[in-house]
Amino acid sequence: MENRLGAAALPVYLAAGLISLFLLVPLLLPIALSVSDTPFVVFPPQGFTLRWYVAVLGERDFTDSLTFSLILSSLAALGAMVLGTPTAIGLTRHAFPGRDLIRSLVLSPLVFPSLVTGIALLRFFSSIGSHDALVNLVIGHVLVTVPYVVRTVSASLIMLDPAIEEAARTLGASRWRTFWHVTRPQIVPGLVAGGIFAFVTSFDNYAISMWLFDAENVPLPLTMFSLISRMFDPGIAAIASLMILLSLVLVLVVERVTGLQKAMSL
Amino acid sequence: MMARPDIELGGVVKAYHGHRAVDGVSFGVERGTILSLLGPSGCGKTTVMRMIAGLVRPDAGEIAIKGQPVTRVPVHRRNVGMLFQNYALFPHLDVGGNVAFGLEMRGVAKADVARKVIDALALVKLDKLAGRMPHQLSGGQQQRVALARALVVEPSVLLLDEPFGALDKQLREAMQVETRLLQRRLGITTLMVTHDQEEALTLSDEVAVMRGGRIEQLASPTAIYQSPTSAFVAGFIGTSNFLRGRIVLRQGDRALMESDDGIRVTVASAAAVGERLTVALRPEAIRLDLAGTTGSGPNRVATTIDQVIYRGLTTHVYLKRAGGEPLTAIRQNDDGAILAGLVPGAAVEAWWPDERNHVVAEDPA
Repeated sequence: MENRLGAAALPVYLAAGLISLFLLVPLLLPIALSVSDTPFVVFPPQGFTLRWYVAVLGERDFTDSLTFSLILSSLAALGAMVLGTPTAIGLTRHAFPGRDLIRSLVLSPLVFPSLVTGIALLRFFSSIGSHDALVNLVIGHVLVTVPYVVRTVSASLIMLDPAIEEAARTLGASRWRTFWHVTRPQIVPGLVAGGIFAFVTSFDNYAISMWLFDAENVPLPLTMFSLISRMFDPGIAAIASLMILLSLVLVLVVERVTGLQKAMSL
Repeated sequence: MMARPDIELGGVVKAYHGHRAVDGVSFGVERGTILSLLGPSGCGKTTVMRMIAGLVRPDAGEIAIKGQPVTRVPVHRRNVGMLFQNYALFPHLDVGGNVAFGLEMRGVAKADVARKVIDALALVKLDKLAGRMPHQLSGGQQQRVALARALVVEPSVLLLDEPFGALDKQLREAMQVETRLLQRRLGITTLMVTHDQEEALTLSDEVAVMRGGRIEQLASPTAIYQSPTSAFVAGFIGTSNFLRGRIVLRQGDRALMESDDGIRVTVASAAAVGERLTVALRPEAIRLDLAGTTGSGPNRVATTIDQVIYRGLTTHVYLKRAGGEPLTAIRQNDDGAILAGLVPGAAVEAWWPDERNHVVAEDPA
């Protein structure tokens, strides 16, 4: 490949390398620690073993919580997709009074402190007498993950030439059939990307979950937090490594489906 | 009895934010003919077409297709075939899928769909490419697919929205000829929107020149070019020299007008002495005498050559009169050579046959 940087190449590569290192080391460290053949977390890690992974996967607290989080995040992602898609279509395709205000409100969870959202939701749920922790958690997570779907689906819609939908209409397709046969196939990549972002965001959420969980419904981040305070072996690093792995897989899926840059843009 | 036109518009109005983009448009497109809506951008031509397609709802007026009022019929039940500026092919469907779309929406049986798709693609000479995706096609091929897709459903009328604008010159001319032949063969009533006057003149049976939401003149291409009724049309279709002045003498049905800068021209006009007129004069009507003053009388003027621009087939000669007023003449080149003596600074006598003086309506401004 042609090198366009010329004399500036070395400093640029050096800086890029350092930044990559800065981003990667915190992720690689738990993986290195998790295979350490020592009863405690030590640095540098010594030996190699996978027994901490076996131990962690045998830990009921962890596996129950992992299962619960997978269910919770799947439901949250599904909810965000179901609510976010029509929202994105309305916000990008129709001009109406107050559109910018509504867009800001829909996207506000991205910038609003979710700790505060969590308290507000807790008070709200108790005041209306909603005591099912799973339902409450799903609602809370949908609230904070909808913006991701709205953004990615909007990005797909903006790139879709409206003339394509008009062509479908002139060819005899009603509004609904135009959406189903023409618009939907175009926004699927954005929808999948948005769903995955929603899933990851929900899976990782602590600030909302800590207000809404109960003893039977404990999302994984909360379990991890309590495990850290009573576990001193590299098992905790193994849990961290498993979560990094899961995120990595999902990011790769997004990259394959849409391209990360495209999915993030708006 | 004349059949009713296939497309009829009566008093159609559309306003955006209080501005009348289309301001009372009425016309008809006769069966089997092509009518072009021609005008500068923002003249409302595209809005008129979109209202016929049903993509825009008119504020007032009536639209009928094949004698049926469609003003309140939704787009997908109007049975129009429309060709979009950038073709608007469905990017996720292959060529066959694109062409089949309209048939599938109409619930045509699978076997018939396959046969009709093949036939339609054969019509535009693309039957070998049915399996390609749109992004694998050239601009010309995409255009043909769009045309096949619009025609396969046997639409009542065909609407072409700046259909050749995205193609380069060679291909554009080829596609224009091809489209015209196809339209003749199928005998399909067609409305085209374009800002390209050459395209409008080449392809149309009738041309409607639009301006500011209204139709300025609707006539055949030759009539539009030879007898423009307004200064706007005379200036927009081709170029014109404009002479503005007063009638100074009447004789029968003819009158002598003297322009404000002193050129005397004879015109066919019933205007009374003293009335103001505008005369449009085509540059190609102007003959040039290099010998200097050879005669007197109307329809001639002494000038000096300001600039000579060689255009291959023609030479554009920019003349200046004694007072500096410009006059443009276009002469055909013999064997590709510029007429001898046409050099800047030379004195020439410009004259023209009096039947080339056209009285046009002045802009309402």
